[in-house]
Amino acid sequence: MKEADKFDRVEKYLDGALNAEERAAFEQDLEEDETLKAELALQKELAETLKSEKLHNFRELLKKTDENWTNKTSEAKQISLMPRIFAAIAAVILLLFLAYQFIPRPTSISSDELFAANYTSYNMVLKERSGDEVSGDLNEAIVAYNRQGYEQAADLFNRLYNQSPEQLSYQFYAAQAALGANRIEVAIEQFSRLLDQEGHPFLEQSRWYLALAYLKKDALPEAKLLLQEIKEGQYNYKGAKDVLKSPLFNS
Amino acid sequence: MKNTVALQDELLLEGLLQSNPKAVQEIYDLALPTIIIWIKQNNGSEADARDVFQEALIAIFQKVQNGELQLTCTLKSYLKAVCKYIWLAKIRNRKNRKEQTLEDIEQVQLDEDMQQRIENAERNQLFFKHFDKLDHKCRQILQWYFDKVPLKEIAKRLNTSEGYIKKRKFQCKEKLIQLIKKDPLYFELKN
Repeated sequence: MKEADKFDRVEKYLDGALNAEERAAFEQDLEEDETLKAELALQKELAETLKSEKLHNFRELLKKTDENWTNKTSEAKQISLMPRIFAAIAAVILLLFLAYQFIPRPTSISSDELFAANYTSYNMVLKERSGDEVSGDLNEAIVAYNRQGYEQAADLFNRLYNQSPEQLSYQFYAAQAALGANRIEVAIEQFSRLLDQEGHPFLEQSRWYLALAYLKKDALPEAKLLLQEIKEGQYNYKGAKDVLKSPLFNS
Repeated sequence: MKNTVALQDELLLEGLLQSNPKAVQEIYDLALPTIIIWIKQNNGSEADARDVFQEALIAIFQKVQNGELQLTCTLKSYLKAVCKYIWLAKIRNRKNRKEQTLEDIEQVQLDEDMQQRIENAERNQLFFKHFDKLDHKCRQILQWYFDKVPLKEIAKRLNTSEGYIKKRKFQCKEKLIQLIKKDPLYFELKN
């Protein structure tokens, strides 16, 4: 059953819009279909969290109070820092003037430099867990990744992915680790495979990081194509726009 | 007879429940500076502290709303304890986590319900984050719908037809769920 159909059925079930026969069939399917059960749980939880008007009003009040708090404390900091700020600005102007006189200015940027300026490794969202054989390898992979042991992390995530090919998060982090370990061809292959699959949560991130991998490889036409595919609202749209403005892509 | 601090705390909680701006401001002034110092001492930033503080206030609000909060210490101590639990849950997953003992604040025991709310806080924040991305009308329709206001009544409040509301409700809810499911954090929290 497609995602959209499951959404539809759950919606009707919760609205009481199924007849007796349809309801019985739905409840029967719930016993056997874990994803249908998960969809029902999500929609119920969503309703429970978002139903309270009082809570929404309270959240709005918190946002305003937080904003006032930030403005109040930054104003106080500014007032006490004014004399130091003026002195610092004067020092910076003098330094810039001296630098302009004596330091040769670079006239171009390499793809390596552009990559380095824009690459940051992706924050790990996987959590360590306990209880089974897989969790031992996974925990080791997460720890290795977090301490930037990318070679080890790449090997571990590849092993995990080979054991559980349905877990796209393993493939995603294997690709991230490959990029961090400078295994560029491997990273390109893995991110490309992720882009070939639809409907998973790592699509937008994969597009950005694949572009970066091509940039590192100095494959500019491929990098440019991918960066141009990143649309407003998608992951790192601003980053992509900035990279495309580089003289490297506009000579 | 209750002491002054306990009475003051009761008034603040009442103000919290009524979304009274002065009460909430007073709670900020009372407790946030201490939380900022503590979180900065434990690998966080001021921005982290303000996020944690908001999540703590939301959890406390929900408990007060259900009539379930019984303070056995000062409100300031309780808030600090809730913030500590929330921060502990977050830093387990931080990238450059250092192995160090967190500086303890006063030992305040949180009941099981509050601990569960803190565990759910990250999921709730995920829902709120994407709910806030919807346009105002979508948010209004969905909040009333989730609160079991009949579609006919929603249509009346918005001066439109029931058919239009039914369609909009479906579209808004579908969009919200798609946004949530696209978030890698949902994928991870689900597993």
